[in-house]
Amino acid sequence: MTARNSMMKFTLIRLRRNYLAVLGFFVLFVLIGTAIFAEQISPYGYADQDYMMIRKPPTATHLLGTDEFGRDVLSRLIYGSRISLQVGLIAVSISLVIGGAIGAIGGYFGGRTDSVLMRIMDVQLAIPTILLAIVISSALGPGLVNLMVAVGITSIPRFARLMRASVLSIKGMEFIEAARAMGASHLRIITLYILPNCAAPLIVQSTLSVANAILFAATLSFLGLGIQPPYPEWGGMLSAARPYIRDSAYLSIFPGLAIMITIVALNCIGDGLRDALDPKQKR
Amino acid sequence: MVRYIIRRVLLLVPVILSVMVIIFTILYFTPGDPAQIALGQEANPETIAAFRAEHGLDASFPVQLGRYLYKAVFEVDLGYSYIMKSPVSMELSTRIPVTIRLAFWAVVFSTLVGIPLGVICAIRQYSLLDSLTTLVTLLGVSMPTFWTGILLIIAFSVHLGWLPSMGFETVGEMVLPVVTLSGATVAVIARTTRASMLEVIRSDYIRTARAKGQRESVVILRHALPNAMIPILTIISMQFGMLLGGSIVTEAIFSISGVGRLMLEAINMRDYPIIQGGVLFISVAFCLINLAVDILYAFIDPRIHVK
Repeated sequence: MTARNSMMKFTLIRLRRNYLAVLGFFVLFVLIGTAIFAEQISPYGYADQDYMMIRKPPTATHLLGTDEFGRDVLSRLIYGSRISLQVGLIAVSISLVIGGAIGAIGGYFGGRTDSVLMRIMDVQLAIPTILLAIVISSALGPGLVNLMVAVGITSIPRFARLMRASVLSIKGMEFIEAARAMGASHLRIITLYILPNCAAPLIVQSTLSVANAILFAATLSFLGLGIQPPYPEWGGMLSAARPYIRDSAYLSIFPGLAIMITIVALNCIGDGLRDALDPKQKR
Repeated sequence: MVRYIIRRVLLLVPVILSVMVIIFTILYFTPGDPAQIALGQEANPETIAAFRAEHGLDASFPVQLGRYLYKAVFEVDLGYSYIMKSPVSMELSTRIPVTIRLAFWAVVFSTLVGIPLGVICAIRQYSLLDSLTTLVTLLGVSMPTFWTGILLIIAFSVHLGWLPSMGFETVGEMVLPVVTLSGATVAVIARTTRASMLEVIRSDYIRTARAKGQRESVVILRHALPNAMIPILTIISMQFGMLLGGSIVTEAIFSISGVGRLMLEAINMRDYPIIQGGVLFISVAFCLINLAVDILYAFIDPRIHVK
């Protein structure tokens, strides 16, 4: 227990020295707060239309302006944070659980099981991820859950390979042999002995994957395959703003900024975690 | 070496076949009847039945899949577009050169910008230029492609009026799409080059080269860079897949008639043969690029050759 705590403590200390990572965490907490308290924070509802205020640039009453239906852009961005964070979190959970299981089983049991599973992953890797996401989400149809599944499936191979590599490096160690000698089952060895020891790379990969998932979700919605209007997805908002690019450029700028700030924050956290969890890498 | 190449090419065959099976299966179980969509809501049952018979849509799943694979492999026939009534291969052949041109120039641009940028940052570590580049590349990897494109259009087409926002024929028309598509790749290549160069510059043989009085430019370009190239090449080949995928978005933004736009239209119209053909082309291209890079490794790094 003590060893674990002190490892976490050292990780935290190293993380606190990384200003970008601290900034990233700060932005992420603000975003999570925004998503949870969207009803309380947002000045208007995400679907409230005001036909007297069609495509009005930012003013004191509408801080980020209004869109083509007279809806408040700021409120829509605030509600949109819910979708983006949900998609990011759940899509990555899907790929972490499925990919992690595939990688753990393949790496642990080796042999034919391993080569069959890894060949399947190779095939999936032969299709560029965004293309696969487009095909799957067009097959599943629009909607929040389908979007999460489509985005989640695409990063399964990445987690499977990472997990497999970690398991391979750990399973030959003596403490695994000791656990087996004590009569621990395969499941017990994988979950209680191997998993905690390959947590670090999985945590880093998960953080970076959340960023990627949010980017994919926005891209799919931009192409009209993800979340359908009037629900305020950031990518969908950018797509809706395209006809007004000449007269109301702000409509195309704010949703993109929201996406970029979120992704920058997650990338900073991911890079910071990688350096903090693996100090050997940092020179 | 030749045997290695042949073995690698043969290994591609099952992968490509599996990709075809997977895409066919996903699309087969997609809700929505392609016959209904192609013929419109008012079509009577007889015409729909005739359409289904004509395109072999009335057969069972294994039969359809088998027929598709057989035709694709032995007759080089990818089927007919439901909507345009022309062979898929013909539709693709007019679009493929456009997409390849887009992806090619994006790779050239991002390599020519990314590698020198990374090298300079590594040489002048912690300088103002280095910090600035770190910041810009962080933003670069975090910007969605479609947003980059929209911002460039707002700046250079709408406000300055310097460059057109549509098409991909003239050099002027090519600038914005290529820069849009390259944005994230430039950032990734610059970051990788910087990290890889920093590692190499610290090694003993670089110190030796400097100690014997070699000019700094020769040390960097002849001694350090070639040894830093392996991770850079890996990242470039990985980015190629991203670029082929990203070209779908870029083609949509700039109204470029490439494979990506063809596929997006086909997805909306449930024109399955076209989608299958498009995915097949992009996956084959992706695999071939990865293969080419693996072979290139062997030339750059003699140690791989020995294995």
